Amino acid sequence: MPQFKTAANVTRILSTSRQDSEEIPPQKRSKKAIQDEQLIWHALKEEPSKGMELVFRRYYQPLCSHAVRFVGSKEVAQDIVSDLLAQFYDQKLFLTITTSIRSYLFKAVRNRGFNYLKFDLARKGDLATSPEPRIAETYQPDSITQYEELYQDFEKAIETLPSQRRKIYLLFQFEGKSMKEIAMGMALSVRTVETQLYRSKIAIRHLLKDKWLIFTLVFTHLL
Amino acid sequence: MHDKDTIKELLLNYFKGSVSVIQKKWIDDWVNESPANEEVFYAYLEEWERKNPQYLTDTEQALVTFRDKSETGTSAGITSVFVRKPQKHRSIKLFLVASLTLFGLLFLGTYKGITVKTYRTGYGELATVTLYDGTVVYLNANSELKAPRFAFLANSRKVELTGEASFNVTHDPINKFIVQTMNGLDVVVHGTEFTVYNRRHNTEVQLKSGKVELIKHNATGEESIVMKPGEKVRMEDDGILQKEKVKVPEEFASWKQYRYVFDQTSLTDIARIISDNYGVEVEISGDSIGKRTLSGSFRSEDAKEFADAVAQVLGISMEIEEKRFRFIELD
Repeated sequence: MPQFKTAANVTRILSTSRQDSEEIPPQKRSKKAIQDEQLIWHALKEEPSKGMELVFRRYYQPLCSHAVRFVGSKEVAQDIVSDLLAQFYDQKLFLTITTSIRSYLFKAVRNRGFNYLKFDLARKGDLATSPEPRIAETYQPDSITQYEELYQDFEKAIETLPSQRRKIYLLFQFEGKSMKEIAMGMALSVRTVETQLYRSKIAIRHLLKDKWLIFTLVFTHLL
Repeated sequence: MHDKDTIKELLLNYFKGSVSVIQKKWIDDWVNESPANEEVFYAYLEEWERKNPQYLTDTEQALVTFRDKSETGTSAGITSVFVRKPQKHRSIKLFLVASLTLFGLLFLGTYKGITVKTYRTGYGELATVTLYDGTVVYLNANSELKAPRFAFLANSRKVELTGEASFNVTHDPINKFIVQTMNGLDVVVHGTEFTVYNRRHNTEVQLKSGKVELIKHNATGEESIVMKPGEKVRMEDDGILQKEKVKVPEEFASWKQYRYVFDQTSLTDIARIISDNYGVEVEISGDSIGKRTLSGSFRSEDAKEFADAVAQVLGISMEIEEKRFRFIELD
C-alpha cells in the first residue's frame, strides 16, 4: 500500500481506525452503496442541506484520502475537497450530473489534484511564500491511468529521499508543520530544515520533470 | 474477456501500483468502453480508498465549517473565487512578463555601463589608473580606456584602448591581459611593461620589459608577432606591421612625466603629438620643414610652451591664430 512511511503517520492511522465502527463487510457494501447513492440523491433533491450532510459523511474521507496522494498535503487536500463540495452544492450540480455522484466527485477531485501537483512542480522558488497555484479542471489527461501514474510517480519520488530529508518533507508538506516547529522537534536549525526542504523539492521535481513537466509548461503558456 | 472478480483484482492491484503497462492500457480501454465500466472503476477506487486511507479526516469538523459557510453565504464567495482566479492569474502573469521584459531590456542597456568602467583623459591631462587586478595604466592625454569594473564579472582581462597608454601588467599566466585597439590590433600580454599608442593615424606598441604578442585581425584571418623588450611595432593605415628597434630607451612612455623624448622625430610627427595631446590644430606651412627632425628630451605641460620650444630648436617661427598653431619657415 503506497502510504507515506513516517512512523507518526502509521501510528495515527492505526490508533484512529477504530472510529470507523460502522464498517460493513465488503460483500454487502456494494449493494448498500447503490442504495446509499439513491438515498443521497433523493435527499439532495428534497432537502439539499440534509443531502449534503450525507455526501460529506460518505465521501469526504475517501475524497481527502485520494486527493492527498496528488497534493501531498492534508491541508490542501481538505481545501480541494471542501471547495469541490461547496461548488457541488452551490451550483446545484447534483441536478445536472449524468454520472453517479461518486463518479463525479472522484473524477473532479482527481482533476484538481492532478493539476495542483503539476502546477506545484512547475512552481519555482520558496516553498513557504509562493502563491497558491491555481486549481483548475481545465486540463484533463487523455487516459484515466495517467492519474494513478502521476501520484504513484510522486510517491516513488518521495521514497527516494534520504530518510531525514523525507521526514522533514512529510512533516512540512503532509502535516503542514512550520519550519520552526520541525526545527524544534528535530533539534535542527531552521536553516537546515529550509535547506532540506529545498533539496527535497528539487529532487522530487527533478525526478518528475521529464515525464510530467513538459505538459505543464505547454499548458501554462496557453493561458 | 475478464470476469467481475478478475477486474476487481486487477483494479485493486492497479491502485496499488503493481500492474504492467499492458494491463494499464487494458484498463484505459475498458473504462472508455462504457459509462457502466467507469462507474465500476470509481466504485472500486472508493472502496480502495476506504480500505487504505492515507490519513483520517475530521469529517464532522469539515461539515460544521461547510454549514457555517453556506449559512453566512460565504460559500458563494468560493464559487466566485473560482471564476475570478484565472483572470487574476492571467493579469499577474502578463504583468510579470511585461515587467521582466522591461527589466531585461533596461538591464541589457545598462549592463555594459555597470560592468565596464571607462577612464577618460582630456587634452593635456594625464591619469594613472590601477585596475582591479593590480595592473597600473598610465593614460596619456586625450585617451580612453575601457576596463572591467569587477574581477568576478570579467572572464578575461580585456581592456579597450583609444589613445595612448602605458601598461605595467600584473603577471597572471592563466588569465592573459589583452589590450584591444579599434584598429583591429590586439596586444596579448605575458607579464610586462609596454606602451600602446592608438590614434586615428596609426597604432604603435612599444615594449620595455617582458613579452607581448600582437594579434592583427584581418579579413583573411589573423597575423601575429611576438615582441621582445626594446622593440617597437608600428601599424599604419594600410594594416602592415613594421617592427623596429627603439633607439632611445628613455623615450619609453616619457610623457608620463609630461616629458617628451625625440629621436630624429620629424616635425610632422611632433605636430601630430601636440595635436593629439593638447587638442589643438597644428599646421605646417612649407613642404621642407615638415621633414626636419628633432632629437632630445623636453618637458612641458603646456601646448604653447611646447610648440615654442620646438620652433626655437628648429629655427622656425610659430604663430597662434584662434587656437590654431602654425609652424612657419623663416626666410
